[in-house]
Amino acid sequence: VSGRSCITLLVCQAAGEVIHGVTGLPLSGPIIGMVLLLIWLSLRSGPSPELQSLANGLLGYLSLLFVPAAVGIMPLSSLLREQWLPIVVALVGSSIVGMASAALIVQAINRSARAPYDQLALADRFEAEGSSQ
Amino acid sequence: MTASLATMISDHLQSPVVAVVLTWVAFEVGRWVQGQCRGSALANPVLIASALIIVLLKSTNVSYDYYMRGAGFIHFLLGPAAVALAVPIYDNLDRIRRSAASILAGITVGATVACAAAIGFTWWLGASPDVVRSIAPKSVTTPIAIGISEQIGGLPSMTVVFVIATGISGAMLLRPLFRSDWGARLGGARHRRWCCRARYRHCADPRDESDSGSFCRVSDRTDRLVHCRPLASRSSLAAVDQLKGQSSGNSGRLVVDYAFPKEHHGHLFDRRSQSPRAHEDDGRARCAGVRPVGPQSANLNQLIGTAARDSVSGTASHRSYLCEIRPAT
Repeated sequence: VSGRSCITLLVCQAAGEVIHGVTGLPLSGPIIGMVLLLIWLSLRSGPSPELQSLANGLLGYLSLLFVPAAVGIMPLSSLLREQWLPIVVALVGSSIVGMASAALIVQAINRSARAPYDQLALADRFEAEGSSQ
Repeated sequence: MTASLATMISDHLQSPVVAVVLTWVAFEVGRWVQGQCRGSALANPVLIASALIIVLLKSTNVSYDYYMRGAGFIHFLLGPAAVALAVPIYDNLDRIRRSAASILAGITVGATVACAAAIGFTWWLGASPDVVRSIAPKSVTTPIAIGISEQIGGLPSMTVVFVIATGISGAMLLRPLFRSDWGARLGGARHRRWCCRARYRHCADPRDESDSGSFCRVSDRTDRLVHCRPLASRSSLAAVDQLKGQSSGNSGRLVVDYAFPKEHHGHLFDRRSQSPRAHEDDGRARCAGVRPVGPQSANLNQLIGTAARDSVSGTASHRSYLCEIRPAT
Protein backbone atom coordinates (compact mmCIF):
# COMPACT_ATOMS: atom_id res chain seq x y z
CA VAL A 1 0.00 0.00 0.00
CA SER A 2 1.55 3.24 -1.06
CA GLY A 3 1.49 6.30 1.13
CA ARG A 4 0.14 8.47 -1.63
CA SER A 5 -3.10 6.56 -2.00
CA CYS A 6 -3.65 6.58 1.79
CA ILE A 7 -3.10 10.31 1.79
CA THR A 8 -5.48 10.76 -1.15
CA LEU A 9 -8.28 9.15 0.84
CA LEU A 10 -7.48 11.05 4.03
CA VAL A 11 -7.12 14.38 2.21
CA CYS A 12 -10.50 13.88 0.55
CA GLN A 13 -12.05 13.04 3.89
CA ALA A 14 -10.41 16.01 5.58
CA ALA A 15 -11.49 18.32 2.77
CA GLY A 16 -14.99 16.92 3.14
CA GLU A 17 -14.95 17.64 6.87
CA VAL A 18 -13.74 21.18 6.23
CA ILE A 19 -16.41 21.80 3.57
CA HIS A 20 -19.00 20.37 5.93
CA GLY A 21 -17.81 22.62 8.72
CA VAL A 22 -17.62 25.76 6.61
CA THR A 23 -20.76 25.45 4.51
CA GLY A 24 -22.89 23.47 6.94
CA LEU A 25 -23.99 21.11 4.16
CA PRO A 26 -26.31 18.45 5.56
CA LEU A 27 -23.89 15.69 4.49
CA SER A 28 -21.17 14.20 6.65
CA GLY A 29 -17.49 14.80 5.89
CA PRO A 30 -16.67 11.35 4.47
CA ILE A 31 -19.63 11.54 2.06
CA ILE A 32 -18.50 14.92 0.73
CA GLY A 33 -15.01 13.39 0.58
CA MET A 34 -16.37 10.56 -1.53
CA VAL A 35 -17.90 13.01 -3.99
CA LEU A 36 -14.63 14.94 -4.09
CA LEU A 37 -12.68 11.76 -4.82
CA LEU A 38 -15.16 10.83 -7.54
CA ILE A 39 -14.66 14.25 -9.16
CA TRP A 40 -10.89 13.89 -8.80
CA LEU A 41 -10.97 10.42 -10.40
CA SER A 42 -13.06 11.71 -13.31
CA LEU A 43 -10.64 14.60 -13.86
CA ARG A 44 -7.53 12.44 -14.00
CA SER A 45 -9.34 9.55 -15.70
CA GLY A 46 -9.22 6.78 -13.18
CA PRO A 47 -7.57 5.69 -9.95
CA SER A 48 -3.92 4.68 -9.85
CA PRO A 49 -3.33 0.94 -9.37
CA GLU A 50 -2.27 1.62 -5.78
CA LEU A 51 -5.44 3.54 -4.99
CA GLN A 52 -7.49 0.83 -6.65
CA SER A 53 -5.90 -1.91 -4.55
CA LEU A 54 -6.14 0.17 -1.38
CA ALA A 55 -9.84 0.81 -2.00
CA ASN A 56 -10.48 -2.84 -2.81
CA GLY A 57 -8.66 -3.93 0.34
CA LEU A 58 -10.45 -1.43 2.53
CA LEU A 59 -13.88 -2.21 1.07
CA GLY A 60 -13.17 -5.94 1.24
CA TYR A 61 -13.04 -5.54 4.99
CA LEU A 62 -15.81 -2.96 5.12
CA SER A 63 -18.04 -5.06 7.33
CA LEU A 64 -15.26 -5.53 9.90
CA LEU A 65 -15.25 -1.75 10.33
CA PHE A 66 -18.90 -1.81 11.45
CA VAL A 67 -18.26 -4.15 14.35
CA PRO A 68 -17.16 -1.55 16.93
CA ALA A 69 -20.16 0.60 16.05
CA ALA A 70 -22.51 -2.38 16.23
CA VAL A 71 -21.15 -3.28 19.68
CA GLY A 72 -22.37 0.18 20.65
CA ILE A 73 -25.84 -1.30 20.82
CA MET A 74 -24.76 -2.73 24.19
CA PRO A 75 -25.45 0.36 26.30
CA LEU A 76 -28.66 0.92 24.31
CA SER A 77 -30.11 -2.55 24.87
CA SER A 78 -32.80 -1.27 27.23
CA LEU A 79 -34.04 1.08 24.50
CA LEU A 80 -34.31 -1.85 22.10
CA ARG A 81 -36.12 -3.96 24.67
CA GLU A 82 -38.70 -1.26 25.33
CA GLN A 83 -39.37 -0.39 21.71
CA TRP A 84 -38.87 -3.64 19.87
CA LEU A 85 -42.34 -3.65 18.33
CA PRO A 86 -42.17 -0.33 16.45
CA ILE A 87 -38.60 -1.14 15.42
CA VAL A 88 -39.39 -4.56 13.98
CA VAL A 89 -42.55 -3.34 12.25
CA ALA A 90 -40.72 -0.36 10.78
CA LEU A 91 -37.75 -2.43 9.57
CA VAL A 92 -39.82 -5.11 7.86
CA GLY A 93 -42.68 -2.88 6.72
CA SER A 94 -40.53 -0.16 5.23
CA SER A 95 -38.37 -2.75 3.43
CA ILE A 96 -41.43 -4.24 1.76
CA VAL A 97 -42.94 -0.88 0.84
CA GLY A 98 -39.62 0.53 -0.36
CA MET A 99 -38.62 -2.47 -2.46
CA ALA A 100 -42.06 -2.76 -4.00
CA SER A 101 -42.21 0.91 -4.98
CA ALA A 102 -38.67 0.86 -6.40
CA ALA A 103 -39.47 -2.29 -8.37
CA LEU A 104 -42.65 -0.83 -9.80
CA ILE A 105 -40.91 2.35 -10.89
CA VAL A 106 -37.98 0.53 -12.50
CA GLN A 107 -40.34 -1.86 -14.21
CA ALA A 108 -42.34 1.02 -15.63
CA ILE A 109 -39.19 2.71 -16.93
CA ASN A 110 -37.78 -0.49 -18.43
CA ARG A 111 -41.05 -1.21 -20.15
CA SER A 112 -40.99 2.14 -21.90
CA ALA A 113 -37.32 1.97 -22.93
CA ARG A 114 -36.21 -1.49 -24.01
CA ALA A 115 -32.58 -2.46 -23.60
CA PRO A 116 -30.44 -2.88 -26.74
CA TYR A 117 -29.76 -6.47 -25.80
CA ASP A 118 -33.34 -7.54 -25.70
CA GLN A 119 -32.87 -10.62 -23.61
CA LEU A 120 -36.50 -11.40 -23.23
CA ALA A 121 -37.19 -11.68 -26.96
CA LEU A 122 -35.60 -15.11 -27.09
CA ALA A 123 -37.36 -16.18 -23.94
CA ASP A 124 -40.67 -15.17 -25.44
CA ARG A 125 -39.95 -17.25 -28.51
CA PHE A 126 -39.16 -20.30 -26.41
CA GLU A 127 -42.25 -19.75 -24.38
CA ALA A 128 -44.37 -19.54 -27.53
CA GLU A 129 -42.86 -22.79 -28.75
CA GLY A 130 -43.45 -24.46 -25.43
CA SER A 131 -47.10 -23.48 -25.18
CA SER A 132 -47.88 -24.57 -28.72
CA GLN A 133 -46.74 -28.12 -28.00
CA MET B 1 -8.90 -19.49 36.33
CA THR B 2 -11.80 -17.96 34.42
CA ALA B 3 -11.95 -15.10 36.88
CA SER B 4 -8.27 -14.33 36.42
CA LEU B 5 -8.71 -14.59 32.67
CA ALA B 6 -11.58 -12.14 32.91
CA THR B 7 -9.52 -9.62 34.85
CA MET B 8 -6.64 -10.13 32.47
CA ILE B 9 -8.83 -9.34 29.47
CA SER B 10 -10.49 -6.39 31.14
CA ASP B 11 -7.09 -4.99 32.16
CA HIS B 12 -5.79 -5.09 28.63
CA LEU B 13 -8.89 -4.34 26.65
CA GLN B 14 -8.19 -0.65 26.50
CA SER B 15 -4.87 -1.25 24.84
CA PRO B 16 -5.59 -0.72 21.16
CA VAL B 17 -3.98 -3.89 19.92
CA VAL B 18 -6.02 -6.19 22.18
CA ALA B 19 -9.33 -4.61 21.19
CA VAL B 20 -8.36 -4.64 17.52
CA VAL B 21 -7.28 -8.29 17.61
CA LEU B 22 -10.40 -9.24 19.57
CA THR B 23 -12.66 -7.48 17.09
CA TRP B 24 -10.91 -8.97 14.11
CA VAL B 25 -10.92 -12.50 15.54
CA ALA B 26 -14.62 -12.20 16.41
CA PHE B 27 -15.28 -11.02 12.87
CA GLU B 28 -13.38 -13.94 11.37
CA VAL B 29 -15.40 -16.28 13.58
CA GLY B 30 -18.54 -14.62 12.23
CA ARG B 31 -17.34 -15.09 8.66
CA TRP B 32 -16.54 -18.72 9.34
CA VAL B 33 -20.01 -19.28 10.78
CA GLN B 34 -21.55 -17.65 7.72
CA GLY B 35 -19.48 -19.95 5.53
CA GLN B 36 -20.76 -22.94 7.48
CA CYS B 37 -24.31 -21.71 6.94
CA ARG B 38 -23.71 -21.61 3.17
CA GLY B 39 -23.45 -17.84 3.14
CA SER B 40 -26.90 -17.38 4.60
CA ALA B 41 -27.86 -13.74 5.07
CA LEU B 42 -29.17 -14.60 8.52
CA ALA B 43 -25.68 -15.49 9.74
CA ASN B 44 -24.39 -11.95 9.35
CA PRO B 45 -20.73 -11.81 10.43
CA VAL B 46 -21.09 -8.33 11.90
CA LEU B 47 -24.00 -9.42 14.08
CA ILE B 48 -22.19 -12.58 15.17
CA ALA B 49 -18.97 -10.69 15.91
CA SER B 50 -20.68 -7.96 17.87
CA ALA B 51 -22.75 -10.49 19.82
CA LEU B 52 -19.56 -12.34 20.75
CA ILE B 53 -17.87 -9.12 21.83
CA ILE B 54 -20.90 -7.95 23.81
CA VAL B 55 -20.99 -11.28 25.66
CA LEU B 56 -17.29 -10.98 26.40
CA LEU B 57 -17.59 -7.37 27.58
CA LYS B 58 -20.59 -8.18 29.76
CA SER B 59 -18.93 -11.20 31.32
CA THR B 60 -15.76 -9.28 32.09
CA ASN B 61 -17.61 -6.14 33.20
CA VAL B 62 -15.89 -3.93 30.69
CA SER B 63 -17.78 -0.85 29.54
CA TYR B 64 -18.30 0.04 25.90
CA ASP B 65 -16.32 3.25 26.25
CA TYR B 66 -13.40 1.27 27.62
CA TYR B 67 -13.53 -1.13 24.67
CA MET B 68 -13.92 1.75 22.22
CA ARG B 69 -10.61 3.28 23.32
CA GLY B 70 -8.94 0.42 21.48
CA ALA B 71 -11.55 -0.46 18.89
CA GLY B 72 -11.78 3.21 17.94
CA PHE B 73 -8.87 2.53 15.60
CA ILE B 74 -11.05 0.23 13.53
CA HIS B 75 -13.97 2.62 13.78
CA PHE B 76 -11.78 5.44 12.49
CA LEU B 77 -11.22 3.58 9.21
CA LEU B 78 -14.93 3.95 8.38
CA GLY B 79 -14.28 7.50 7.16
CA PRO B 80 -11.58 6.57 4.61
CA ALA B 81 -13.67 3.52 3.62
CA ALA B 82 -16.65 5.75 2.83
CA VAL B 83 -14.36 7.94 0.70
CA ALA B 84 -12.98 4.81 -0.99
CA LEU B 85 -16.50 3.97 -2.19
CA ALA B 86 -15.78 6.52 -4.93
CA VAL B 87 -13.46 4.00 -6.63
CA PRO B 88 -16.05 1.27 -7.33
CA ILE B 89 -18.53 4.00 -8.27
CA TYR B 90 -16.01 5.38 -10.76
CA ASP B 91 -15.31 1.88 -12.10
CA ASN B 92 -18.99 1.37 -12.77
CA LEU B 93 -19.72 4.89 -13.98
CA ASP B 94 -20.38 3.65 -17.51
CA ARG B 95 -22.91 1.15 -16.32
CA ILE B 96 -24.52 3.64 -13.99
CA ARG B 97 -24.78 6.15 -16.80
CA ARG B 98 -26.30 3.59 -19.14
CA SER B 99 -29.17 2.82 -16.81
CA ALA B 100 -29.19 6.22 -15.13
CA ALA B 101 -32.93 6.70 -15.53
CA SER B 102 -33.96 3.49 -13.76
CA ILE B 103 -31.25 3.73 -11.12
CA LEU B 104 -32.06 7.33 -10.32
CA ALA B 105 -35.80 6.80 -10.25
CA GLY B 106 -35.57 3.46 -8.43
CA ILE B 107 -33.24 4.75 -5.75
CA THR B 108 -35.03 8.06 -5.31
CA VAL B 109 -38.45 6.48 -4.99
CA GLY B 110 -37.30 3.39 -3.08
CA ALA B 111 -35.16 5.25 -0.58
CA THR B 112 -37.71 8.01 -0.04
CA VAL B 113 -40.58 5.59 0.43
CA ALA B 114 -38.57 3.27 2.70
CA CYS B 115 -37.38 6.20 4.81
CA ALA B 116 -40.85 7.72 5.03
CA ALA B 117 -42.38 4.34 5.86
CA ALA B 118 -39.79 3.69 8.59
CA ILE B 119 -40.44 7.08 10.15
CA GLY B 120 -44.19 6.63 9.77
CA PHE B 121 -44.28 3.19 11.35
CA THR B 122 -42.08 4.12 14.31
CA TRP B 123 -44.01 7.31 14.93
CA TRP B 124 -47.33 5.56 14.66
CA LEU B 125 -46.29 2.84 17.11
CA GLY B 126 -44.87 5.39 19.51
CA ALA B 127 -41.10 4.99 19.41
CA SER B 128 -38.92 7.62 21.03
CA PRO B 129 -37.51 10.43 18.83
CA ASP B 130 -33.93 9.16 18.94
CA VAL B 131 -35.06 5.74 17.70
CA VAL B 132 -37.00 7.42 14.88
CA ARG B 133 -33.90 9.41 13.95
CA SER B 134 -31.75 6.28 14.04
CA ILE B 135 -34.09 4.25 11.86
CA ALA B 136 -34.62 6.90 9.18
CA PRO B 137 -31.27 6.43 7.38
CA LYS B 138 -31.37 2.63 7.52
CA SER B 139 -31.77 2.07 3.78
CA VAL B 140 -28.37 3.40 2.72
CA THR B 141 -24.94 1.88 2.95
CA THR B 142 -23.63 1.65 6.52
CA PRO B 143 -20.77 4.18 6.48
CA ILE B 144 -23.10 6.77 4.95
CA ALA B 145 -25.97 5.83 7.27
CA ILE B 146 -23.66 6.42 10.24
CA GLY B 147 -22.86 9.89 8.92
CA ILE B 148 -26.53 10.72 8.40
CA SER B 149 -27.49 9.38 11.81
CA GLU B 150 -24.87 11.55 13.51
CA GLN B 151 -26.01 14.49 11.42
CA ILE B 152 -29.70 14.29 12.37
CA GLY B 153 -29.10 13.46 16.02
CA GLY B 154 -29.75 9.73 15.99
CA LEU B 155 -27.77 6.98 17.68
CA PRO B 156 -25.17 5.75 15.16
CA SER B 157 -24.74 2.37 16.88
CA MET B 158 -28.43 1.73 16.61
CA THR B 159 -28.38 2.78 12.96
CA VAL B 160 -25.65 0.23 12.23
CA VAL B 161 -27.80 -2.54 13.66
CA PHE B 162 -30.84 -1.28 11.76
CA VAL B 163 -28.94 -1.16 8.49
CA ILE B 164 -27.78 -4.74 8.96
CA ALA B 165 -31.30 -5.80 9.92
CA THR B 166 -32.60 -4.11 6.77
CA GLY B 167 -30.10 -6.05 4.70
CA ILE B 168 -31.16 -9.31 6.31
CA SER B 169 -34.89 -8.63 6.01
CA GLY B 170 -34.37 -7.47 2.43
CA ALA B 171 -32.51 -10.66 1.56
CA MET B 172 -35.25 -12.74 3.10
CA LEU B 173 -38.15 -10.80 1.58
CA LEU B 174 -36.65 -10.37 -1.85
CA ARG B 175 -37.30 -13.86 -3.12
CA PRO B 176 -40.97 -14.04 -2.15
CA LEU B 177 -41.54 -10.49 -3.41
CA PHE B 178 -39.93 -10.78 -6.84
CA ARG B 179 -39.58 -13.88 -8.87
CA SER B 180 -37.06 -12.59 -11.35
CA ASP B 181 -34.96 -9.73 -12.64
CA TRP B 182 -33.27 -8.24 -9.62
CA GLY B 183 -30.82 -5.61 -10.76
CA ALA B 184 -31.27 -2.02 -9.83
CA ARG B 185 -34.52 -2.65 -8.07
CA LEU B 186 -32.53 -3.68 -5.03
CA GLY B 187 -30.92 -0.28 -4.93
CA GLY B 188 -33.52 1.76 -3.15
CA ALA B 189 -34.77 -0.14 -0.20
CA ARG B 190 -31.70 -2.25 0.32
CA HIS B 191 -28.25 -0.84 0.64
CA ARG B 192 -24.86 -1.40 -0.83
CA ARG B 193 -23.89 -4.40 1.25
CA TRP B 194 -26.58 -6.48 -0.34
CA CYS B 195 -26.32 -4.85 -3.71
CA CYS B 196 -22.74 -5.93 -3.55
CA ARG B 197 -23.86 -9.45 -2.83
CA ALA B 198 -26.22 -9.40 -5.74
CA ARG B 199 -23.49 -7.98 -7.93
CA TYR B 200 -21.26 -10.78 -6.81
CA ARG B 201 -23.89 -13.25 -7.84
CA HIS B 202 -24.25 -11.71 -11.26
CA CYS B 203 -20.62 -11.69 -12.14
CA ALA B 204 -18.77 -14.16 -14.25
CA ASP B 205 -15.83 -14.73 -12.02
CA PRO B 206 -16.78 -15.47 -8.42
CA ARG B 207 -13.43 -14.20 -7.19
CA ASP B 208 -13.51 -10.94 -9.09
CA GLU B 209 -15.75 -8.57 -7.25
CA SER B 210 -15.00 -5.70 -9.58
CA ASP B 211 -16.53 -7.64 -12.46
CA SER B 212 -20.08 -6.50 -12.05
CA GLY B 213 -21.26 -7.12 -15.55
CA SER B 214 -24.95 -7.31 -16.06
CA PHE B 215 -24.18 -10.19 -18.40
CA CYS B 216 -22.81 -13.40 -17.10
CA ARG B 217 -19.96 -14.58 -19.24
CA VAL B 218 -19.74 -18.33 -18.86
CA SER B 219 -16.58 -18.40 -20.91
CA ASP B 220 -12.97 -19.42 -20.40
CA ARG B 221 -12.67 -17.50 -17.16
CA THR B 222 -14.69 -20.12 -15.34
CA ASP B 223 -11.95 -22.31 -14.00
CA ARG B 224 -13.81 -23.70 -11.09
CA LEU B 225 -17.10 -25.25 -10.32
CA VAL B 226 -19.78 -22.62 -10.08
CA HIS B 227 -23.49 -22.63 -9.81
CA CYS B 228 -25.13 -20.52 -12.41
CA ARG B 229 -28.74 -19.59 -12.57
CA PRO B 230 -30.18 -17.40 -15.28
CA LEU B 231 -32.32 -14.59 -13.99
CA ALA B 232 -33.48 -12.53 -16.91
CA SER B 233 -34.80 -15.15 -19.26
CA ARG B 234 -38.29 -16.10 -18.35
CA SER B 235 -38.08 -19.47 -20.03
CA SER B 236 -34.96 -20.35 -18.08
CA LEU B 237 -36.68 -19.31 -14.90
CA ALA B 238 -39.46 -21.71 -15.72
CA ALA B 239 -36.83 -24.41 -16.10
CA VAL B 240 -35.35 -23.45 -12.78
CA ASP B 241 -38.69 -23.75 -11.07
CA GLN B 242 -39.23 -27.08 -12.68
CA LEU B 243 -35.85 -28.34 -11.46
CA LYS B 244 -36.56 -27.09 -7.99
CA GLY B 245 -39.84 -28.93 -8.01
CA GLN B 246 -38.08 -32.13 -9.01
CA SER B 247 -35.18 -31.91 -6.65
CA SER B 248 -36.94 -30.84 -3.50
CA GLY B 249 -40.44 -30.62 -2.21
CA ASN B 250 -40.31 -26.94 -1.41
CA SER B 251 -39.24 -24.71 -4.22
CA GLY B 252 -38.69 -21.77 -1.91
CA ARG B 253 -35.10 -21.21 -0.99
CA LEU B 254 -33.05 -23.61 -3.04
CA VAL B 255 -30.59 -21.57 -5.08
CA VAL B 256 -28.59 -24.14 -6.97
CA ASP B 257 -29.66 -25.04 -10.44
CA TYR B 258 -27.04 -25.00 -13.08
CA ALA B 259 -23.59 -26.29 -12.49
CA PHE B 260 -20.75 -26.93 -14.82
CA PRO B 261 -17.59 -28.56 -13.66
CA LYS B 262 -14.13 -27.51 -14.71
CA GLU B 263 -13.67 -30.17 -17.33
CA HIS B 264 -16.90 -29.09 -18.93
CA HIS B 265 -16.15 -25.48 -19.57
CA GLY B 266 -14.42 -25.91 -22.87
CA HIS B 267 -17.59 -27.20 -24.41
CA LEU B 268 -19.97 -24.67 -23.05
CA PHE B 269 -20.64 -23.15 -26.42
CA ASP B 270 -20.74 -26.45 -28.23
CA ARG B 271 -24.26 -27.25 -29.22
CA ARG B 272 -23.55 -30.96 -29.00
CA SER B 273 -22.27 -30.83 -25.45
CA GLN B 274 -24.17 -32.60 -22.76
CA SER B 275 -26.78 -30.78 -20.84
CA PRO B 276 -25.57 -29.63 -17.46
CA ARG B 277 -26.31 -31.55 -14.40
CA ALA B 278 -28.87 -30.26 -12.02
CA HIS B 279 -27.80 -30.50 -8.52
CA GLU B 280 -29.10 -30.19 -5.11
CA ASP B 281 -26.89 -28.71 -2.45
CA ASP B 282 -24.64 -31.69 -1.86
CA GLY B 283 -25.81 -34.81 -3.56
CA ARG B 284 -25.55 -34.44 -7.28
CA ALA B 285 -28.51 -35.82 -9.08
CA ARG B 286 -28.57 -36.03 -12.81
CA CYS B 287 -31.64 -34.32 -14.00
CA ALA B 288 -33.31 -36.82 -16.25
CA GLY B 289 -36.09 -36.06 -18.65
CA VAL B 290 -35.18 -32.43 -19.17
CA ARG B 291 -35.61 -31.29 -22.74
CA PRO B 292 -32.61 -29.85 -24.58
CA VAL B 293 -34.48 -26.76 -25.79
CA GLY B 294 -37.55 -24.87 -24.80
CA PRO B 295 -38.92 -23.51 -21.57
CA GLN B 296 -38.35 -26.67 -19.57
CA SER B 297 -34.77 -27.07 -20.64
CA ALA B 298 -31.73 -27.26 -18.42
CA ASN B 299 -29.38 -26.62 -21.30
CA LEU B 300 -26.52 -24.30 -20.50
CA ASN B 301 -26.33 -23.14 -24.08
CA GLN B 302 -29.56 -21.36 -23.52
CA LEU B 303 -27.80 -19.05 -21.14
CA ILE B 304 -26.38 -17.42 -24.23
CA GLY B 305 -28.72 -15.19 -26.14
CA THR B 306 -28.76 -15.20 -29.90
CA ALA B 307 -30.78 -12.03 -30.18
CA ALA B 308 -27.67 -9.84 -30.36
CA ARG B 309 -25.39 -10.90 -33.20
CA ASP B 310 -22.14 -9.45 -34.34
CA SER B 311 -22.98 -7.38 -37.39
CA VAL B 312 -19.88 -8.39 -39.35
CA SER B 313 -19.49 -12.10 -38.70
CA GLY B 314 -23.07 -12.83 -37.77
CA THR B 315 -21.98 -14.91 -34.79
CA ALA B 316 -23.84 -14.94 -31.51
CA SER B 317 -22.34 -12.87 -28.77
CA HIS B 318 -20.38 -14.76 -26.16
CA ARG B 319 -22.54 -13.20 -23.55
CA SER B 320 -25.18 -14.98 -21.67
CA TYR B 321 -28.30 -14.03 -19.82
CA LEU B 322 -28.12 -12.30 -16.53
CA CYS B 323 -27.11 -14.98 -14.10
CA GLU B 324 -26.78 -15.63 -10.48
CA ILE B 325 -23.42 -17.21 -9.92
CA ARG B 326 -21.89 -18.64 -6.84
CA PRO B 327 -18.95 -20.93 -6.26
CA ALA B 328 -20.02 -24.50 -5.69
CA THR B 329 -17.53 -25.29 -2.99
